[in-house]
Parts: sequence; structure tokens; C-alpha cells
Amino acid sequence: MNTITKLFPAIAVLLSLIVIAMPLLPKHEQGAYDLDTLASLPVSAGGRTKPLDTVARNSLMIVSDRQTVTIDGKRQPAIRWMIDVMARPQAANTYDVFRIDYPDVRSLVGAVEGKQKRFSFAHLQRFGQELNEQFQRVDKIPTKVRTLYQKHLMELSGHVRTYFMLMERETPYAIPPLAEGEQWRPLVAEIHTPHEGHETHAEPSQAAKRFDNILTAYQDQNPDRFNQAVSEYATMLDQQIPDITRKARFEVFFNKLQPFYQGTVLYVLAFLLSCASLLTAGFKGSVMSRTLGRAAVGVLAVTFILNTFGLSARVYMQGYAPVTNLYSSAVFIGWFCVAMGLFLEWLFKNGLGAALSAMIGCVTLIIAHNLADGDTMQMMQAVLDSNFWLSTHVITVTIGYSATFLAGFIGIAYILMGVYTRGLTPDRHKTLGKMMYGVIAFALLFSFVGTVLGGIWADQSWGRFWGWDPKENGAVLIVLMNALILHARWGGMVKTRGVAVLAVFGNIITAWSWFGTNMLGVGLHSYGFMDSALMWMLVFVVIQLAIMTAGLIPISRWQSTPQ
Amino acid sequence: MNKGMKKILAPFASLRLTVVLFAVAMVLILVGTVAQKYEGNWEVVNRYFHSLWLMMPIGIAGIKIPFVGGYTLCILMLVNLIAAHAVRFKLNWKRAGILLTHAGLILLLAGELVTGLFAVEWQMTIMEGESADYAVDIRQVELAVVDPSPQKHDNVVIVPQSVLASHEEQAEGTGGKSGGRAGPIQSELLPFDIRVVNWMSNAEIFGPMGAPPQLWQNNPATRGMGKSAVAREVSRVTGVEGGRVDAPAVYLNLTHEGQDMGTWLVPLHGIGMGDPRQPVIINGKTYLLELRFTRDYKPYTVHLIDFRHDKFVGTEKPKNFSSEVRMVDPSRNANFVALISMNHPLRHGGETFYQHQFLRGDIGTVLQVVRNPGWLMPYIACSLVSLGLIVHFGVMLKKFVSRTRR
Repeated sequence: MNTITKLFPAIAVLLSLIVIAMPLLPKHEQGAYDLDTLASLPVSAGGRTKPLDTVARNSLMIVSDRQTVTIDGKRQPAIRWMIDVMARPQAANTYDVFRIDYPDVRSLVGAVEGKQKRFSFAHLQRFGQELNEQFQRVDKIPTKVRTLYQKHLMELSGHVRTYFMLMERETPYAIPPLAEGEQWRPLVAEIHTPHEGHETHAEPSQAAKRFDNILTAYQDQNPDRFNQAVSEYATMLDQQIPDITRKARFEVFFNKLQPFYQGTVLYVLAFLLSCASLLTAGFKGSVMSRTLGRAAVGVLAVTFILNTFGLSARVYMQGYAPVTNLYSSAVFIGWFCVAMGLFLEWLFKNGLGAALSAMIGCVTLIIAHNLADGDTMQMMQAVLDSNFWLSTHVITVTIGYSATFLAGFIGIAYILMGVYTRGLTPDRHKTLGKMMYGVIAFALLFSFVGTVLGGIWADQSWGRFWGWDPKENGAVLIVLMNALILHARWGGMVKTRGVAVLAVFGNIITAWSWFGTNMLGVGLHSYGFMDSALMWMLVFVVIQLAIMTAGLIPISRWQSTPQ
Repeated sequence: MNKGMKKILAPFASLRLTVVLFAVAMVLILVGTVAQKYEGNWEVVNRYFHSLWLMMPIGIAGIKIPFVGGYTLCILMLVNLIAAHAVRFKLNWKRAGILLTHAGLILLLAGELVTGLFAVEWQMTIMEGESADYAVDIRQVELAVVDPSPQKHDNVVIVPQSVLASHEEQAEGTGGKSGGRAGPIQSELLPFDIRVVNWMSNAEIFGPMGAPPQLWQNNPATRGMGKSAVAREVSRVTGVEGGRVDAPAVYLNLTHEGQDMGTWLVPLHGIGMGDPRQPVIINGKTYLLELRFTRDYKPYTVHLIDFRHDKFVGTEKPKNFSSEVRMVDPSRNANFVALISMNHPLRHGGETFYQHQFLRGDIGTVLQVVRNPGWLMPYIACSLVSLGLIVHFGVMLKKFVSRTRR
């Protein structure tokens, strides 16, 4: 074995560490204003304490569908946009941030043709009267019966409101509770915005005054005064609420690191490496295959650790169990699949577990990023706020989802490899069969326990163990599917190939209970509704059915001869 | 077990049957889920899951096919399971897990059966500082005819929802929709005869301004609230609209000794904020007419001391709610204070009290009251199944790992 093959896995791991560290490097040239310290100031928004940075990123994400803004041809961080909105609205109003996609809404603001997707507030103001009339008209129509145009229009209306709330300093709740009996409150509660011209009714608190100093200095375009005001305020908070400022700084780090986003790239890398390893495995005892395989596992392990850190960080920041919305469920499913994949890799050492889990990890992260609002880490309704049940029921049931998916993907690998390649050797046929069986058994255990724990939670919450709620039904479908596969195998009705075909069907069932029930918009559990998701869901189902059909082709006509 | 018995049971014990039953159950559950987009959750549950069989829509041209209901499926699964164990009974480590799992499943199904047959749910609304001695069933209404003349109590005659619905008159020319027994509701307890002109399972009420003109022109009401409001039947609340309930309304024609007392609109809860009860005066005596949720009077009184509702700072999102109540139950010699909050119900006298909702302005609480003799069964069942699966797959995994790592 030469040095390069020996070092290759280490190089791959090093490369992925560099990929991870990249976003931590300063991206934007440091201006005269100390925006980094400003970004880490703690505020309260949506019921949770977080740094201004998160509020800026989330608000910009809502309005603009991205986390940076282009000012004078240069990319600027969200916090720059936010301080402009709060302190220099006359400047912020000229930034093209309002994203409008729907053609009829675009034509409403005079943009029938052209590639421009984002419009400035000043631009919208020119069509203000007509927009306002439309907003008011549509607002009276019940949400359920609104047309697509009306929905998009109301979306824009919401974005404008988000913008206004920042400009009027009503969000975030910037002033912290420093004295006994105080609550987080918005700046506007103590100091009115300069362009409003109201008299302040009471003497503002020290914190409010200092926060206002920051904004005024920025408004006056005085970097020295601004930096001093920011640093004084930050020091004061560090002394009085050190726990909160520490947490806020950690969240800024988390925002910069974007652990889930980086994961996507690395999973692709791990997947390519393990595919290359599988393809070169044809030559028995191939050194190249083993080297590539080791590199794949290395990259996968690094990514897994990054993902683990991301999930734990969420728990620390939000104070909830890791799964609280569709976004985090997607991340968690991917994370757990990778954990199982690494375990299978350790058990079988054949590169299949690594390849599959890298693929699932990547796909789930892509799904997560394409969900409506990204990871906003909102607080939960009282009915869902019971950490014990959240951590037990939701996690077990999500593990059940993960395992069912993993089994389905092993099924896909089995079928595709067998039908279209010569790669399904009798050896692989045997291991894949064992892997599927083990994973399905695991899936049955967790989906069952998770489902019943959900029932117990429901019984504790509103006295109904089982309500035939769509999400509950979805969970029980997964249990039945897994039970069906196992019983069919025990009864000798299916062998490895049949298990593979059924496991692929399990993918459809799992996707249905994960997303389909949300699309129905029914029941207590429909926590996130997505529009275009329906199309993707159908695409997914069709692909699964196609693979199942391929799996039903008689083995005599497969490329491989597994037995 | 003797051989003959085994031979008879064998076909019922087949794993093939198990797989078929699982597949059938999946179809039933899937269709029963999608159906909730169009129908009320309770209707779906009763028709699909708490039934022996049903006509199932297949989604094409309104065609329906007969299909097994939840109860039948449950029974078949139980037969299959018990027969399988009777035929193949063996006690060893390998079977122990399976036995435990299946015992747990039987208990779980039995629990659902007990719940389906015996569980009852009510709601209890209490204002802060006040008490309640009854709970209501929000899925059923009743017509109450109240005689408030006695000093210390009211005399109340109740006409249940089923009687109202089945006595609906056939609307002219339309052939009627319920095919009910036309004819008045008569009883010597009632001060008048009641003809049900129009029964609406769920109704929308319009004030004088908002109603469509043709609704006003055909307004059947001649007395009471119906003169300033009209009701229109709307489709019943579906499972999609979680939390909402039907608001029925009824048009009644009253006669006293052959004399027409007018046609009245009686909607659930009345109209607006005032007293929902409408006075009907007969020979100088006042009776009050009201459509209300079916009441169940309890042997105890619940007094709401304090209702708390905290929100997340700067949002309208509820962080928690709780009701501090005093339970006074002379029949059980009980008198104590308890705090009911989300996930922390109060259990008393076979009934469980859950924090359910609250009244706008936080002036009162709505408790969900549930009596379910089978409430403990799922807990035991779940433990059994989980234990069984862990034992079974644990034994398998151990064997599997030792084989692959040899």
C-alpha cells in the first residue's frame, strides 16, 4: 500500500473539516461599524430570547427568501439590513428585498416582464394605494377559500407588516428585564421612533436609553459613537444578564456555522466516495475500493458529528427536544439514518450502509431547506409544550420513520443493483436481506412504541388515548406496514426480493404519514402545511412505484444473479 | 389440544390471513383518514372504525363498495391471533417475546373496544368565582322547555336531538331529507305540541343586515328571535376543522289546544350575547325555550377559584393554562382544592378532568370531563408489547451479531 492510499482517508476528513470551518471566516469586509457585536445583542422575539442576528436573518428570510442583502452591488449580512431598517429607514427603503414571484402580484407592482424578483419598499410605495386596496379586500376573504393570487398577495402583505414592525421598533422586544418584575418589551414602548414625533410619556429605562443611543449614532452615521454605544450596552448586559448574553453569542456562532447547510455538501461527498468504493469493489480485495470506502466513512463520521452538534445546539438554544417542527424532523430523520448506517457499516463493512445513509442524510437536509420558512425555532403551543412527552413520543416515532425509510432505501439499492447492474452478488444479496430484516424489526419496535406513547400523551392532555387523528393514523400505518412485512417473511410468503419490494412501499407509507397528512390540513398534528410539496410527494410516490415494478421483474431477467 | 381441534383452527391460524388482515386494515385506515377532509371526525370514526361494515367510496364517480369496518377487522385479528397461538403454542425464549407482544396487542384492542363502547366525554364551562354541577356533550343538543315558576328550582322538559331530527316535517315538493315521521311531538309534560318545521344539524345565523334576500322572503318564523334573524343549513363541521363543533338550529311551530302559537327559530345558544332563552307565554304563564348542548347533571360541584393563562412574551401564543378548582362531592365525602393544567388532569370518582379551553378574556375555563373505564388498559398493553418486542428482537439481534462477528 503506497502513502497516498494510506493518507487518502485522512485527506478527505481534513477537507471536510475545512468545508465546515469555511463559513466561520469573515465573509464581508469589516466596515467602520461594529456590526458583529450588535448582532450578538440578546433580544426577545416570538417568545424566545435570541441574538439580534437571528431576528435579522429570520426577518430577511421571510421578506426576501435569503439571508443576505445586496447594497450598492455588494452582499451584506442580514444585520446590516436590519440596523438600516431600524435606524435609517430612508436608506433601507431603497434596498431590493421584497421578493415577489407570482405573476399577477408582480404585475400589480408594475413588473410584468423583466428578471427582477426583489423590489424595494420605495418601489412598493409607488403602488401603495392599489396594494392597500387589494390587501384590505382580500383580508376579508376567509383563508380557506382564497385563490393562489390572493394567497400570494396576503403573503406580500405579511412581509410588509414584518418590515413595518421592525421599522416601528415593535419587534423585536429589544429591552431586557433588568429589574425585578420587568418583562422583555419593545423599544417603542419606552422611546418613540423619531419620525413619529410623539412625546415620551415616562422616563425610559437605562437599557432603553442605551439601545436608543446605538440607533441614534447609526442614524447620525457616526461610527465612533456607534461602536462606543454598542460596546457599553453589551458590557452592561454581560454584567447583568451573563447567561442570556452567553447563549446569544453561542447562537450567533451557530448561525454562522450553519451546521445543517454544510452537512448537505459533505453528505454528497461521502455518497460519491462510497459509490466509487462500491463500483471498484468488483476486483476482489481491491485496495482502491477499501481506501475510498474508508474515506467515505471518515467524511460521513465528521458530518454526523457536525449534525449531532447542530441538533444538540438547537436543544440548548430552544430548550425543547430536538424535534419540534417539520424542519427539525427532517434533520432528525437524516441524522438517525446516518447513525444506523454507520452502525450497519461497522457490522457488515461492505460500504452499503455508508452509501445509503449518506444519500438519505443529503436528501433529508435538502427537504429541510426547501420547507417553507426554514428553521425558525418557534416556541410551541401550550398543548405541545410538555417536554417529557415531546422527547419520548416524538423522538421514538421519528426514529421509527427513520428506520422505515432506511429499510426502504436498502430495498431500493437491492432492486436497482439487481435489475440494472451485475453488482448484486449472492454475498450482497444475503447481507442486504439481513440488513433489511434487522432494520424493519427495529422500525416496528420504535414506530409501535412511539405511536402508543403518543396515545398516552393524548390521554394525559385531553383524555383520549386514541382519536383517529390523521397523524395518529399515519403512524399506525407505518406500524402495520412493518408488521405486515415481517409476518409475510415469517410465513414464507416473501423472500428477500419480496421484502425489498414491500420495504420500498414502506417509503410511500412513511412519506404519507410524514407529509401527506399535513397536506390534508387535518387534525391537531398538522403543524406545517406546504404548497408545492404535494407535487414532490407525487413525484416521490411515482418513483417508488416504478422501482417496485422493476423489482417484480422475474429474477431470471435481472442483470445480476443473486442466488 | 387434540388433533381435531387443531385441524379446525388451522385455517384461522394462518400467517397468510394475518398479512391479508394487515393490508385490509391499512386500506381502511387510509380511506378513513382521507375521509376526514370531507366529514366530521366523529362521523368518520363511527362509520369506519366503530362499525362492523360500511360502504366505502372508491373515489371514482361516487361509486361505493362494501368493506369491513373496524370492529369486524378487530374480531378477525383476534380470532387469527388466538388460533395461531392455540395451534402453535410453545413456551421458550424465542416465543416468549412474541407471546408477550401478542398478549399486549389483545389488551390494546380490548381497551379500544371498551373505550368505544363505554367512554363518555363532556365539557364543563365554569366562570371564575362560580361553580358548575353539570357537564355538556358538545356532539348532542337538546331542546329545553323550562318552567321557571317554582321558587327554588326550575321544571325542565327535555326533547332530545334524535326526537327533533326524526320528527322533521317533509318539506313541500322536496320529498324531505330525513324521511322522518311527520307529526307533532306531543307529551302531557309539554305545555304545547311541537311541530318540527325544519331541523338543521349545523346552521349559519344571519342578522337583519347580512342575510341573503331570498332567505328573508322565505323566513318561516313568525315569533321570537326568528323575526330578526334567519338560519340557513350549512354542511356539518368536518374533521379538518379540528376543534369546531356543529351549531344546530331548529324552526318549531307551537300549538296549544289547537291554537297556533307561532313559528319560532331556536338556534343553539340563542343569538348574540343576551339570554338565549326565548319566552313563550301560555295563559299568562311563561315558559322558556332553549336549544342547548345535552346536559349531564353530576353528583358533585366544581368551583373555579382561579384561571391562569400565560403567554410567551410579546406573542399571543399560550405558554400554559391552568384552573385552580375546588371539588365538592357530598356523595364521596370529598372537598378539596386541585390544580388542573395541560397534561396534569384531575382524576376523581372515575372521571378525569382536563384543561381544555378557556373563555375569551380569561374569565373562565372549559374542562374536558371524561369517563373511560378502560383508560388504564393501553398503558399496560403498551408496556407488554414493548417488552415483548424488545425481548424478541433482542434475542434475534444477539444471535445475529454473534453470527456475523464469528
